[in-house]
Amino acid sequence: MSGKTQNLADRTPENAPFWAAAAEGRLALPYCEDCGTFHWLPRGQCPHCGNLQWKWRAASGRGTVHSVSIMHRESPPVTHAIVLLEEGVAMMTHLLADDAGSLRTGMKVTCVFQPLNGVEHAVLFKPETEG
Amino acid sequence: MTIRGKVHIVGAFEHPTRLASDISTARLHAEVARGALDDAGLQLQDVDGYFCASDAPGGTLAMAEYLGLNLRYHDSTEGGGSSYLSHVGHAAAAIASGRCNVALITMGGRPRSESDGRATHLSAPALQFEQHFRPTVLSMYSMAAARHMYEFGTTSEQLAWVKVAASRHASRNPNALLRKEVSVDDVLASPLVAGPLHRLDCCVITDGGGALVLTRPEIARSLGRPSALIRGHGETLRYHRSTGYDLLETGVRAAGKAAFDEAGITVQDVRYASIYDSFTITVVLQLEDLGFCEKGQGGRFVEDGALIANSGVLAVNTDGGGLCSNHPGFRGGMVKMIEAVRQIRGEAHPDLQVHDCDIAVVTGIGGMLGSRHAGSVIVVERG
Repeated sequence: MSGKTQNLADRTPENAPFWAAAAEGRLALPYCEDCGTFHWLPRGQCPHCGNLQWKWRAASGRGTVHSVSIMHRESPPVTHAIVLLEEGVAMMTHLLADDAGSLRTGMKVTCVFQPLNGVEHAVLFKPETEG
Repeated sequence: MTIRGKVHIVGAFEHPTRLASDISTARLHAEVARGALDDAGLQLQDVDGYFCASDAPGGTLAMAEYLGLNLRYHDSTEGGGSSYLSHVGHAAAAIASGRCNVALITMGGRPRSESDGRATHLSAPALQFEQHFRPTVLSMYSMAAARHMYEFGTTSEQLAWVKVAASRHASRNPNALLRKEVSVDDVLASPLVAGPLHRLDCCVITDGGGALVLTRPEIARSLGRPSALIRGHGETLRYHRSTGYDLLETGVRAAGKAAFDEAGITVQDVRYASIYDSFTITVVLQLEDLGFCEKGQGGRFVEDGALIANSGVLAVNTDGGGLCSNHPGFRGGMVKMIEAVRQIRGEAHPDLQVHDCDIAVVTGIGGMLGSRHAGSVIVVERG
């Protein structure tokens, strides 16, 4: 892998609970208790009602592939994807599979946490059927 | 207050280079400024409004000094490759409200000659959740193509027709980087680079640049040259939705509606279109967003040479576009604007000049679809 590793100092303090949960293998998402909705990416305020005091809440970690693209030129090929989570929000991610060619839009996936380009607990996804 | 009918584009210049290894980026800006002012019959001393984006070394402050400008107005709006369309709209508003008389917009970049000529926004708060995935325009636009195929059955053959049209046009442009005409089969035979996108679905990477000069009608008339009159502008910013996701609607939808409304036109009025073509899929999405066809029908719309001037249904990117001619500094908006001015003035290649080209539309997208991106649209008419 080429390129710069992520500088932990780039992480903003209000997002520390996300990374602490990730380190324990749990996915947390911004949740507004006032209007009862999740959002992603983390915003200055709840994008639905404007509440500045949203909280981090545990999420299922399960979702559906919205789109997927194999970068054929990289070795081994990297599979970029957008995953639509059960909570209704979408995440940029990479997909993991023994056979990248088997990955499809519409496939059910579940999150895993592993090191990626300098981030110790990046949120990646793999097909549910692979356990 | 509308800008419609109040401001003329009187100078336009595209640098002929596609590889600028022997001059600085600042020098490129100086050369395109001179080219556009010469085209207009004006001089640097006449300029009192200046516009540039992050490709200009040191921004407006440093460039004003380097070019020796005496300014009443400056603007460094940054929207990636669409920046220069926004500059046109903003300059028109500044001129129409009397804040400047002669506006200069410059663009120049050297990604082939400099190892890292790409502007970055490393402090965006979202990057702590994205940067380690190394998203690129290629990864994001290829996901848009994959999603378009999944939802609407769009095919690689249909996308390839966008490239075929661009290559036909580029074959008439002596400055185009890629002048060889290609077929649908050639596109499909080129290597897959990301998802469903082949190498020939991607735009060129070039050094180069361009500039525009805008002024008010009294000055434009005194110059005695054909000009393009600005008829409408719209712009917007789009970003990752807070719930759900949308890879397929570009900022050009909202920007185009605003521009068409201000111009008082519909798609039936458009004789020529410069459509931002970072990838073949980019063109398909924007033709849908502008209303040339329904969302999802863009693949069918571009088939069978539909975008080839004087034989297809809509003349698009008659200079060869970013797909074949020029995409300087990873930023295509300036050259898109310049080819529209050529068409409006009747100065496109004779084989590709649109007959009676009285209304043209220009689109720009900067940044990444599905992530954060800018959309900007300009409508021009014969001045």
